[in-house]
Amino acid sequence: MRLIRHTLLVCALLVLAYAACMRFWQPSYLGIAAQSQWQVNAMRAQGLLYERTITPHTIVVGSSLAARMPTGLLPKHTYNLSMVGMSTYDGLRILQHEGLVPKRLLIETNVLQRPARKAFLESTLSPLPYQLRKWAFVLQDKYQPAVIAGETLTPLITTPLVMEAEAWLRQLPKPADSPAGGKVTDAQAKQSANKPNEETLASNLSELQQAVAYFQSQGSEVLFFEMPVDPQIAESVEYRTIREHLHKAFPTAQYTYLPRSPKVYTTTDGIHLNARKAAEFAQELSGMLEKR
Amino acid sequence: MLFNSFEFVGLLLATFLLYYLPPLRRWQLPILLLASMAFYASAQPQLLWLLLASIGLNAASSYAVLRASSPQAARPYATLGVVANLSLLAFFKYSGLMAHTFLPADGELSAFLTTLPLPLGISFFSFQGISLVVDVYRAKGKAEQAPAAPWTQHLLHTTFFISFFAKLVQGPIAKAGQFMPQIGPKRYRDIQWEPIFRALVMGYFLKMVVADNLKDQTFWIAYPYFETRSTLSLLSMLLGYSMQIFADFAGYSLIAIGVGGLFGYRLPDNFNFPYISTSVADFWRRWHISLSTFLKEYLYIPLGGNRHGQGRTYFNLMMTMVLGGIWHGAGWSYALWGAVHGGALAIERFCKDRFSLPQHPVVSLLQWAAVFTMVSWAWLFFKLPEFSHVVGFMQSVVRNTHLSTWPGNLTYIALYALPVLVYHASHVYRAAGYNDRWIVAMRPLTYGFMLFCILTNSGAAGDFIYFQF
Repeated sequence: MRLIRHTLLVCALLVLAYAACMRFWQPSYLGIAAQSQWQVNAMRAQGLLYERTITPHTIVVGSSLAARMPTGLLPKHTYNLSMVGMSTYDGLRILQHEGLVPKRLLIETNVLQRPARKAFLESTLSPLPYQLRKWAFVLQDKYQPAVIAGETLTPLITTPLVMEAEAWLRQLPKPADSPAGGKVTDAQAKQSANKPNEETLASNLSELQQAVAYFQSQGSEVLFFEMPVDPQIAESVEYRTIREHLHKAFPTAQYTYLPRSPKVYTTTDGIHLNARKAAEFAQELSGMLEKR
Repeated sequence: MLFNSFEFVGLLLATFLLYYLPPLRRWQLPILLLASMAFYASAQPQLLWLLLASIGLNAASSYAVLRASSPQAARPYATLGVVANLSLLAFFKYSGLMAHTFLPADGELSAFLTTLPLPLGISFFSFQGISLVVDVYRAKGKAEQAPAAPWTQHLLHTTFFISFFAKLVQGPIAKAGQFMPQIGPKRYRDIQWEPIFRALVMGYFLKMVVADNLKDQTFWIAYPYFETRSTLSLLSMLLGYSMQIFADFAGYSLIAIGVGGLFGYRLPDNFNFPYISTSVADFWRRWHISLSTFLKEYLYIPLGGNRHGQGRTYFNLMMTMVLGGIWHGAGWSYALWGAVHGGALAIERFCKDRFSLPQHPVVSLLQWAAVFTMVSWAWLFFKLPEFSHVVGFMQSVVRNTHLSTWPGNLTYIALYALPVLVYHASHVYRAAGYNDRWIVAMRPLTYGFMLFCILTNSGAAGDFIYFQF
């Protein structure tokens, strides 16, 4: 039992020391740096749950497609709660759990066939982890020691090593065929050629109807929008089916749909805009919202 | 219900409290059975009947073996028990694969077979059923066999042996001969707190801090995404996956051992520092020990082992590993993974019979590097479901030399691989006979740090890799 007592004591001291350190140090990359895209999701959710001082005027909910839009280029007081690998429903559930009602709710409609991710919502909203993170701020993802270690070690050690290794690798003969984007886009196009599971889609849309009714009843203005994707995918069976079901559930005469962008945006893999294009679309979206 | 979920912690605490309450002492076994059924039903309530059916057939066949007048009379019952277990496993786990491979895709039968649900832990509880029937049958031949217990007690013990929640869905695969004798009343004061605490902290650390964080870094070993990653990135992700799969499964096994210990049951060790192996045979003595021991005792030796000449030995090795591979999952890539290991074992044995290498640290280091490299590459068959994707990954490694690497990815892989390396290195240090008193003295700091990391640096909870098996 002595080992157990001492271990618990060491752990408690480490948590306290680390919390004190984080309270006073506050490195500049805190809240920006993350280990992975999935951690960015957690940080976005936790940012809204634990750090907001006022309810943002506009909240964007969506998938990894909308997640790429930089918040800074969206209208003032906008919070982008779009999640990589997830969908609109995850963001909506978080808002409903918190009773957060923005003046304007922007709903991305590209990935409506994907239901909310139970594991993510449980880890974010279950009473115990939720309260623990609320009262012990160092348990929030942005304070993970590995992020601090990663941000310190990467420029010092990894980047120089990677640069050297890459310089050596680039001396090797360059392959004739270029891999990268093409095949990924093809795979996305192939996937989009299939109809989404209509049962799941219908059930998801029914959840969306309830959520939209709730936010409207609370006074939110709900706007639907579609992120630009590869033109071939935008007109695929999958996308057309989703639009068809969406328009049935939310008739265009009664609900507001922002117009689809007429521009052709290049993507990295058929559906995701690269950083530059995502910024460009964020500005276009901001322009549309300002005109309203 | 994952071991790393709050629901599980709740179930564990409630069961623990009830289990050791003095007035409920004589209900200890039913309490554990109830908790085990709740554990299983929380994931697949609709398939609880299958678990119960498996238990029923194993209890009946092993009881028939016990009651038979002689080993000869018991043989048909034992055979029936083994065949029934294998049939259940084959039907639920492999009929989809067979249908996919041999039947036309649009047929009704094919559609039915490919949509059969995969019962959680079927590979594990079927093997434990086989172990029960075979162990009871083998004991039959021995002179001093205990008289058969009453049917109700046998049924209760069999149900517990197969369904104990600590090992139900992912092992370690307990052998009946070792587990059943432990069944009996347990006292709170007999709990070995320190080793249990160490197993639990280490297990949760490996799973929640190492494996769950590495999984986000190795996510891109997936078709077609790996085609867009640089050579450096692909190689580091492969190393990361090697560490991840160890941390994930060894972590689970340690938690299972810790949980078993809380209720007074000793589960078999499943890992013994596998990444220090200097031969493939050595690797299999250290990796998933409960499975490799099972395969050796119940498959390799009955096939003839090494008793029928070299050619037959190689065949037996290959057969055991291919079947062991396909035990993991209903996909030909798992069979290929087994074949790679079987082939490596056969080649190793062939070489060992003909050449002897000098005993030198440099030679050992080269052997270790060769084994680790082979094992790590072979994990690709686990990660990528199709052979063409494995080939594609290898082509990308050769081809993507000109692509840029995100250094952060490498940093995080190195950070999370480090604990696995230290874990193995500390064992090498101790095994070399150096003074390890300072390691023991540092334990509160080490375990305190691990606990701190569990609290502050856990990754997003993911399924255990072996859950799918």
